[in-house]
Amino acid sequence: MFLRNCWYVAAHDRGVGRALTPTTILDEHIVLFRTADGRPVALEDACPHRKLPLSKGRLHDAAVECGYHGLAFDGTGHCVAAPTQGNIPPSARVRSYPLVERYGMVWIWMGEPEMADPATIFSVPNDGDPAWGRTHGGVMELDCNYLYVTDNLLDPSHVAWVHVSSFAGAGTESQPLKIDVSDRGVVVSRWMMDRAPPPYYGPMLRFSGNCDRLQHYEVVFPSIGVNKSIFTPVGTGGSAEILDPRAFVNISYNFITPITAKRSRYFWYQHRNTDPLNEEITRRMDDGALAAFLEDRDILNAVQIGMDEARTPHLDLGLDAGALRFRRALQRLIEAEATARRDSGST
Amino acid sequence: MQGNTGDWQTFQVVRKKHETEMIASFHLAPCDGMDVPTFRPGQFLTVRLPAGEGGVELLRTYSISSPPDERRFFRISVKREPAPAGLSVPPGRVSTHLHDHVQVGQNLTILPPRGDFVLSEPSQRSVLLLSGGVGLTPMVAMAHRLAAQGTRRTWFIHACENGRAHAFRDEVASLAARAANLRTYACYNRPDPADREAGAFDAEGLLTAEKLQSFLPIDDYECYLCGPPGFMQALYATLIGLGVCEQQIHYEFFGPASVLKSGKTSQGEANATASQAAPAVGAGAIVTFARSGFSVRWDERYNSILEFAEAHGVSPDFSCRAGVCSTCRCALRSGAVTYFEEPLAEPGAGMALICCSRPDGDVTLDL
Ligand SMILES: Cc1cc2nc3c(=O)[nH]c(=O)nc-3n(C[C@H](O)[C@H](O)[C@H](O)COP(=O)(O)OP(=O)(O)OC[C@H]3O[C@@H](n4cnc5c(N)ncnc54)[C@H](O)[C@@H]3O)c2cc1C
Ligand code: FES
Ligand code: FES
Ligand SMILES: [Fe+2]
Repeated sequence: MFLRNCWYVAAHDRGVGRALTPTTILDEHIVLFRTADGRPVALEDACPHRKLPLSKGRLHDAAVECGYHGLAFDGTGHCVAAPTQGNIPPSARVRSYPLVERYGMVWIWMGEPEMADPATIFSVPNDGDPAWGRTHGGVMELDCNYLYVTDNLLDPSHVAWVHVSSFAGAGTESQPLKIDVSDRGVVVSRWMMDRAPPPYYGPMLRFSGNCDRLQHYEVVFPSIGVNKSIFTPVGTGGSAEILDPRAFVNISYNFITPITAKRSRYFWYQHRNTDPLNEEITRRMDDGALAAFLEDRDILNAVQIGMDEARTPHLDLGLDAGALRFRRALQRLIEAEATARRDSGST
Repeated sequence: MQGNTGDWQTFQVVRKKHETEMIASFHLAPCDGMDVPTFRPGQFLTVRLPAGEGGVELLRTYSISSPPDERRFFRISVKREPAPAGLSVPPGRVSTHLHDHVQVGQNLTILPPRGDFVLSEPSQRSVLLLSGGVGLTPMVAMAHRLAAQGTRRTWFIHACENGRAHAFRDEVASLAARAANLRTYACYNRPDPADREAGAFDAEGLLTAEKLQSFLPIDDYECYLCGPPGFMQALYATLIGLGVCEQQIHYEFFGPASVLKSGKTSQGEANATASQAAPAVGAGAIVTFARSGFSVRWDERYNSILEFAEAHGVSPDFSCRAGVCSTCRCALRSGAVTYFEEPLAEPGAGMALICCSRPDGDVTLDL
């Protein structure tokens, strides 16, 4: 149901501090905190004695102390104190999850710890480039399966009905969408030539007149949405690799972390190749994105209920082609992982 | 309701008119007295004749020649297809039947307008309408629209045998008299003495690049081409030679599409108005709709078997039309298909998804 041998966003790094913070990821209860020297830690949120969540205990300099009988665990999950009996039972330990801080977020590895390789964390091009501006972004929870969110991130057509106020108009485009499936994920994209720039983006463009425009909707395994827009002067469009120096690029990164089968956490921020220090633009883009995501959330929460309670079969339409190809490819990865786990004898 | 009756509708012949010795127009009005459906100039109707003695239903397509603003009836204009000279074969079945047996008051079963050989409407480019013989029917509808709009510079260039074979001469001339943006040019292959006396034509012989250059101002044209295959091949090459880019040349074949671009002459040239039912022209698989009880030669202009079936009045079930939902899954009684879009789920042995495939040789479908 979930891909495990991969990195998910557990929290914004500003969301993890010197407090015990419970969370749930892929149905597993986890407690997040920072050690006194600032390192983030993720432990299984259940004391091995009577399974009281450790997040109900106390955080000391280098250990969490259980709030029931005082067993204490360090950042690796080893028990470092058993105050009621003096000697520490060797089996007193909790699972510790590999974590890495990158791009302002804390990434967690949910699979076999020995396979965790930080080099496989999703890579953000131009990260840290002073010419690029980044929004603050945000986080929210949705009451739906994460695959309804990836469906939505591969479906440009819903914009015309769901985001009537925010980005209206884009769904009436007749230019066909191209679908590419690769071993990284699925891309649904199209170039639209010689179009008037939409009012929302117009003020950010460094050229006047019409533009060639790229819409790029991508979901990378396991569930990271990359929504890239390029606006470039008429005649210079057609390639996202070789860009005209006047081209405006905005990329919205959407990191979906499944909480349970019917609940998902959504982290996002946007990255643009202009006006790095312009707080006004940053604020406007943050506001726009939040408004749009709240519109999506409203729909997707209701879709989950609708699908759960459906008494008649549902349809798949042409607009679902990219999303269904993504689901199929991810399903194959999940099955391959389960087979490998069975073969190697681990649980 | 049967599963595959399609959108067939019954229309009444309210007028029959001889445009020339060989071409007759039929005005078709909805039996319920309603307006006809809207259409885009250039589109065609599909006419179905019920199975007769031979037991096969006949489907033929005819371009709409009436003005797009005419909402009371559709007009189609049909050329009688005699047996080709020197061959002892029967004359064209549907055209002969329409000419000889269909009269005012009778009903015809048709499909609503289809086809994507249509005037591109938002564009303001100058237009060249280039037709040969009965290939002028879609151009007449386009000329009405262009004259009514009055904005795009338009040349209606028509090639035919002589004045007796020149359909719609008066109708187009009166349009041109009223619309300053529309001009006409007629090229007669073998004019009659009467044509010479009346000064009825602008040039004689075949339409050539020199003739076009002699009167066409240099401009950025959008071209519409329809006529016998030989005419289309020659004119296509001429237009490319005059610097018109491929994307600006739109064309329609009144029979199986032949090769336009390679310069190779397709065999279709021998039979200037070959129909779908005519013997093989180029390669073409036979698609048999077993439950509907007819076979048609595959036509390259259709993207998928699903589209092809719909164009012939069969209405298979579908949902996504993108190979991901399996709704269009259908049994292949014989033959094979090739997929241009990989099905998301294998359709299974002996089955095919028809929204994302084309025939690979002759096929028989359970439709
Ligand atoms: C998009 C489109 C639009 C069209 N619009 C028009 C239009 O506006 N007006 C119009 O008149 N037509 C139009 N056509 C052509 C029309 O659809 C028919 O193809 C045409 O009327 C001939 O059909 P038929 O049934 O009369 O002839 P068929 O019975 O199909 O026969 C075709 C020819 O083959 C000959 N033939 C028969 N048997 C043999 C044999 N064994 N060997 C060799 N030759 C043989 C016949 O004598 C005849 O000349 C259009 C076609 C298309 C595809
Ligand atoms: S049209 Fe997509 S849910 Fe109704
Ligand atoms: S219509 Fe969905 S697979 Fe063909
Ligand atoms: Fe959305």
